[in-house]
Amino acid sequence: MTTALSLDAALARGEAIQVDPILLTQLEAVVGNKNVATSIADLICYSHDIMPPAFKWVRRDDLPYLPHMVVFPGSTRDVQEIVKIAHYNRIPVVPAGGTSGTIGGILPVCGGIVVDMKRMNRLVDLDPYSLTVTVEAGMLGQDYEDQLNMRGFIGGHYPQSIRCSAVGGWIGPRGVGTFSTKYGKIEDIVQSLEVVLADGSVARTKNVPRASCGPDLDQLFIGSEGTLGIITQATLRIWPKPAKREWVSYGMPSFEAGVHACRDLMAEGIYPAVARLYDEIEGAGALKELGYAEAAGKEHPLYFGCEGRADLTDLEVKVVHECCRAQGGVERPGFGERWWRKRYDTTFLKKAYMLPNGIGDAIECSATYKNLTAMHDAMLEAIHVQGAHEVFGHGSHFYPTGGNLYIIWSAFAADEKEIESKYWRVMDAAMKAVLSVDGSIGHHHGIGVNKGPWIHLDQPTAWPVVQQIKAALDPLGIMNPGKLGL
Amino acid sequence: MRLSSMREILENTAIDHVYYRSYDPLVRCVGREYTPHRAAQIAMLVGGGRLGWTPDVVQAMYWPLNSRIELVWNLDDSGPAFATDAGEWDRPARADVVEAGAAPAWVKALEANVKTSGNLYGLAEQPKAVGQAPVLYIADDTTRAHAPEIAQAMQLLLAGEGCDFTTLAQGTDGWALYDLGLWELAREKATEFAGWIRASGARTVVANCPALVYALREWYPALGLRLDAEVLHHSEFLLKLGVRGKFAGRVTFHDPSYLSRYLHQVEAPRALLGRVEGLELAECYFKGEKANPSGPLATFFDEEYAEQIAARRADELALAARIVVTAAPASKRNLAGVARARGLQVLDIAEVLAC
Repeated sequence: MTTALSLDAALARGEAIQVDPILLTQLEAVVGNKNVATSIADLICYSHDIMPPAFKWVRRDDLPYLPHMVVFPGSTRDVQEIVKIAHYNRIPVVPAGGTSGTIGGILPVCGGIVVDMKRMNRLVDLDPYSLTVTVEAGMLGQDYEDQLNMRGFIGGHYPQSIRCSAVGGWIGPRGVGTFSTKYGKIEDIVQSLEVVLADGSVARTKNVPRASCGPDLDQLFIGSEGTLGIITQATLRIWPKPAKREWVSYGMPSFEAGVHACRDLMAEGIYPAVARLYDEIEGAGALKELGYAEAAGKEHPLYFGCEGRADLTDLEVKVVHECCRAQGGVERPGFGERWWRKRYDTTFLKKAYMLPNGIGDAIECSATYKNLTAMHDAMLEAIHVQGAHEVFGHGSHFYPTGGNLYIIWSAFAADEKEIESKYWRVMDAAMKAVLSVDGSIGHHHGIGVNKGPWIHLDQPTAWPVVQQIKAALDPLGIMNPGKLGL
Repeated sequence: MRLSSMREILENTAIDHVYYRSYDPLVRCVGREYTPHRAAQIAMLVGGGRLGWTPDVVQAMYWPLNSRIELVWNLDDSGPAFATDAGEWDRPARADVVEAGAAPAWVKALEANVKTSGNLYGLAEQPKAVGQAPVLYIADDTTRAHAPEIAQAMQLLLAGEGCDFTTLAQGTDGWALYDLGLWELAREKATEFAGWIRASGARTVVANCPALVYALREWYPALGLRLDAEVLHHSEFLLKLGVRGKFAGRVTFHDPSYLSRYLHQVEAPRALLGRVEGLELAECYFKGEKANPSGPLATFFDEEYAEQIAARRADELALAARIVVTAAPASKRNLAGVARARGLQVLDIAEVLAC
C-alpha cells in the first residue's frame, strides 16, 4: 500500500511526478495517454472536496493528500482494467465524480490512483413506459436532470450540489435530494447498478422493481462510498413532469409542534415533495425578511412543497393546512418560495471558512419522530458547550417514521491550526449527542473520513458485518481506503 | 506579478461553497476537473510562490473556453443567468504567464500570426484605407477565416435594403489577444482597429460577431478608445432596418454565449426570425441566457474537447429541429463541424434572411 503524496513532497519531486513507468504505461494502454494525468496541477484538483477542514488546508496552501495519478476511464471495461492493474500492484483506487462531497470521500489518504468518472457521462437508455433511465455514473447531476427535462421527465433528485455532483456520487454516500419526501432518497430511486469489484470483475444487478432472489445487492453498494467497488452505471426511477406545484408555509409555536405536524401529515399518507422545519434561531432571519418581524425568534417556520397532478396536489395542500393548524400553526406565506429562490445559497458556511481562524459545518443526522426534538436540543447543547459562535438547525427531510436534522454551526479559534482541533472537538460532541438519543450520525452526506471515527458506535453490533463484507470483497484493502471507517 | 496581489479574490473562488460555479461545459462534456475553484487554487499557489509556470500549470490557466463566459450559471428560475465577466482573475493570470515567457506554443503561434499578418488566423491581407459611410459593417477575422458566407450574406442584405455602408474586413480587434494574456499586443491592435472605425466616419457600427460587439461596447471604452458610433450586433441592426425574408422550414435558434450572456440580447434574433415568411421557430429546451455553449471562440487549445462540447449542444438542438440558426461565426463554425454526422444544417441568421 502506498502513502499519500503531500504538496510539499510533490514539489520536492519536481514538476514531473515520478510514477512507476510500467504502471503508467499499462494505464495509458487502457485509456490512452490523454486520459492519464500525473502533473501537479491535475493532482491538486483531487486534493480535497468541500469537507470544512480541507478549506483550511486550501487557505494555508497546505495540501496533505494528493494522489499519485489520475485516470479518466471512458467505459466500464476501462474501469475493470484499471482496477485489475491496481489490484495486481496493490495500489489504492479512489473513485471521484463531481468532487463536491462534504465528508472527504475522495481524499486520497493513502495516495494511489484517482479514477475520475466524469468521462463516463452517457445516457444509455430511457424507458418512458417503465419510467426508468440508465446512465453512466459520471454524468453530472444537472446534466442528468437536463437530459430528462428535455424529454418531458424529471429525476426527482435535487441535492444542493446538483450542478457539481455526479450520479455515482449521489449513490456512493447514499445521498438525498431536497424533494425526498415524495421521491425518496437515492436508495429509493436506484433500481439497478453495475459495479466493478476490487478484482476487476463486474457485478450487474437486475433492472426490476422488486424481487425475491436473496439479499438486495443494490442496497449493499449504495452508501459503500467506493470501498466495495466502483459504481459504473445505474438505472434509476424517473417521473413525468409534475403538472402543478404549490407552496404552503406556517409559523409553528414550537419545534416540537412542527415535528408533530409532519408526523401527522405522513400518518395521513400525504407526502409533499418538500418538507422543511426550522428552529426559532435559524428561522428568525427569514421571518424578518418576509415581513413577520414580530414572530422572529418565537415562531418556527414550517413549509411544504406539494407537486404532482393538480387535483392530488390540491388535496395534499388541504391536508397540510389541516395538520399545521391542528398543531397551532399560523399561516405565513412566502417561506417556500423564498427557499426555492435561495436553495443553492450556502453563504453562511462560506463566511465562516473565509474568515481567519473560522470554521463551520452543517451536520446531518436522522432519528425517529419521537427522538427528533430531543436530538435537536442535545446537539445544540453539545455544540454550544464546545464554544461554538453560532448554532441552529432545521429538519429538511421527513418520512413516515421520522426525519433528519441539519445542525449548522460556526466557531472561531486563536489560529488556523487551532480551529481544526476545535472542529474535531465539536464533531465529537455532536456525534455523541446524536448517539445519546438513538439517532444516526449520517442521513445523506455519508461517512468518508469525516465521520469515520464514530461509525462503529452508530451500529455497534451490525458494523462488524460490514467489516466482514469489506474483507471478503476487497481483501487487499485497495478500494478507497480510509473511508467509512474501514 | 498580477496574481500575487489577487490573493483575496483567488481564495474567495478556491474556497467556494456556492455550488453552481462548477457547471462548466468542460467539466460536463469533457470530464476534466479544472473547475473555477481548482484553477483558482492553482493560481493562488503560483501567486504565493509555491508553484511556478510549468506547462501543466499554464494549461490549467488556459483551460476555460472563453474566460468562463460559457458557463451556464443558473439553469432554473431561481435568479438571472450569471453574466458578469468571469475573467476577473484568469485573464490577469494569463497575462502573468505571457509576461513570464511561459505562454503555450499555440498562443505563441496566434501571436506570430497577428504580428505577421495582422489577424489571428494568418490570413494573407494587406491593410487598406477604409471607405467612408454612415454605416460600417465589420467582417471580423473569425468570420473571414471560418464563415465568409456570413459576410457575403450581410453585404447582400445591406445592399438590398439600400443601406449606405462600407465594410471593414481586415486586422483583428484585439479582444482574443487580451483574453489570452497578450495584453500589450491586444492594446496595440485595438488602437489600430478603433482608428479604422473612426476613419470610416460611421455613426453606426454593425458586426456579426457578438464577442466583437462586446469588445467595442465594453472593452474599448475601458481602454480609453472612443468610436463615436453606436455599436450593434447584426441581428439588432437588421431588425432596426426592417429586413424581411422568406424561408420554408422549421428551425431552432442557438443563442451564442456572448450575445446572450454578455450582451443580454435574446429578443432581437427571435424578432428577426419572426419576420421571415414560412419559417417556423421551434425553441430548444435550453435557450436564451440558459443556452448551453457550442464551444470556444477562435482560441482554444484542444479541438477534440471543443468538438465534444459542440456535439452535446448539437444533440440538444436536434431535439427541436434539423435546421439550426445562430448568430455568431464561432457558433456556426463549432456547430457546423458536428452537424453533418447528425443530419443538421447550420445557418447564420443573415444567411436565412438573404435566402
